[in-house]
Amino acid sequence: MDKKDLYRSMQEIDDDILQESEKRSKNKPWLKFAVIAACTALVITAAAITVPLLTKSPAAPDEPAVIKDNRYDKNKTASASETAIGWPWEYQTPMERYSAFEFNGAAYVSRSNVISDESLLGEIIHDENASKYEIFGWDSYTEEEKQELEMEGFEIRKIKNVDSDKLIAVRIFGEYVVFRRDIQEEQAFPATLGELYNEYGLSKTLKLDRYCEKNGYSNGDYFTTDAGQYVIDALADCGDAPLISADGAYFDDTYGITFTATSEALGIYKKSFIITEEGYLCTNIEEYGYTFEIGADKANDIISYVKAHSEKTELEPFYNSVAGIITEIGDGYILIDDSVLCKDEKDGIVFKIPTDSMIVRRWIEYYHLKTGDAVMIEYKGDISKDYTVNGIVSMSVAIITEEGVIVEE
Amino acid sequence: MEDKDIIALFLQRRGDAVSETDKKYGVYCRSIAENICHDSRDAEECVNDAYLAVWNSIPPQNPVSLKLFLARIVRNLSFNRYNEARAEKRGGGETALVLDELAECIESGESVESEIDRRQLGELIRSFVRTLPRKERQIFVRRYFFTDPVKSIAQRYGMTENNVLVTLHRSRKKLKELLKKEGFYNG
Repeated sequence: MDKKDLYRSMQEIDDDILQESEKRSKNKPWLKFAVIAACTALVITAAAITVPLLTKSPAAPDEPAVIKDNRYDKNKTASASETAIGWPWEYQTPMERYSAFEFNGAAYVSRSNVISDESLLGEIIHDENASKYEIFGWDSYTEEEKQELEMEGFEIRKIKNVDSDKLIAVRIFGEYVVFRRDIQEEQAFPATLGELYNEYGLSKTLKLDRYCEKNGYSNGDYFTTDAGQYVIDALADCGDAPLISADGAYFDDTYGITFTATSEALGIYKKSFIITEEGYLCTNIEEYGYTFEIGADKANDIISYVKAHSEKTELEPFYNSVAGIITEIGDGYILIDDSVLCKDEKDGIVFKIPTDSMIVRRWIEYYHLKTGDAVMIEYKGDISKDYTVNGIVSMSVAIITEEGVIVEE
Repeated sequence: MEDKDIIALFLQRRGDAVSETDKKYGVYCRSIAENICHDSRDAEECVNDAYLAVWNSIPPQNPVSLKLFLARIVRNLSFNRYNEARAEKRGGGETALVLDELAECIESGESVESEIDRRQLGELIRSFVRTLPRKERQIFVRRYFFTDPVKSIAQRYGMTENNVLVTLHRSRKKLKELLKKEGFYNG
């Protein structure tokens, strides 16, 4: 028997197994996490989303808008159209323009999240005028684009409490974007939970305040908790807990609690931090599905403490969204009226969308959206009292339907 | 056209059976052949040979899945072509990598040679893949049956290439242990 015999013997694999391998995953990496992650909705995975949810954020900086519940007609649906647009260079966001690079011989990839609180940043480790690093895919840029990038220069800074071998902040066209070291070697995985804690300064950079219960693959109820710091500290005591898997194993069919992990310093938004009653901690904060064995006793202590310090809440979608018809394109803003989605038109709200963000502006200037067009906006921020939508993360042309039939405006 | 209708054309010995097959599965077959032969002209010839083989085997055969029936034939013919090319010092590419990976499962041991082993080996592979977890099995099959490049497996399943490599490594280790245990080589 040689390698060729072994290769030929694969011919005997049964049809149902071959058939199974023909399927493609429609999902992004770590969808499994995304699905069970607390506070996520199908917004990011489904092409069509249901009537947008409007939630009153408990953490609004100034008075948020109070929006009546159940305004929407459940037969009406706004879905993002699947049009993919290749925006020209001048209409790309800084993050779209620049997503990977090499620095000191290591590859870094963008986490597509920005640090806006500069107090989180540490020392400068690379002066913006120096150019000893190479931009990934440099040859694919046009001469004009190269010039613009060279003129801009990139200042690289450490992030406080975080190992700069893991994450760095790069100033791109005025914004500090978090980049992570692209791990290619298995040896670069943390061997213990303590290592992960040290590398990412988790005791100081992580905040856990929302979770959902999970039973196997199904999500249970959603909770807010003030026991987040307790959890972080309790896990810090499990520094020796070994990494036993990097592919998301060991939490499938068990009961557990799934925290939503968001951290500006780490450049992560709604990642997962799962503690199972069988004694495992599973997290995808470094993109891989790390599983650490913390022991069933410890895990159950944490779970019962958290449960005793929580309040039931509603699911919070991955991003909030609004949709409606453009009624005005003004100087620095557009207005979107969502009465078309309401049971009673009088309940409709006119939202103000600032056009200072390229994400919005390019639809007007380049795509030439006009009044009467339907759009959908996803946002991370709040809706202020005058119905201005803050923290817009995406915009798309929408299709509004009533029981499957397109609503003509 | 539905598979059963195309198969009906073969059964009736209709000339358009082949053109209908090519219309539906031409791209699919060529992608398998190109993975293995690493040469588009060789791949094209293998696919044409595969159509002839299907023409000669239906009837008497009446496959449940025409697609997979074709996949097996194309794979087999392409691997023969690959071996001929290697003898002429051409070829290489993905198949060479796949074979080297498989060699890990039997290296450092003395192979036990006999014809009966080949049949038993097929049986062993057939049951081995069923013991793998689903995702791991899919990756194993994509790599060692379809000879897919690691990059395309990563894209297919939304994983990193590194993750695919690690998973494949794990499967090979399991296979190696099984082969040793079942006496396919004396490690």
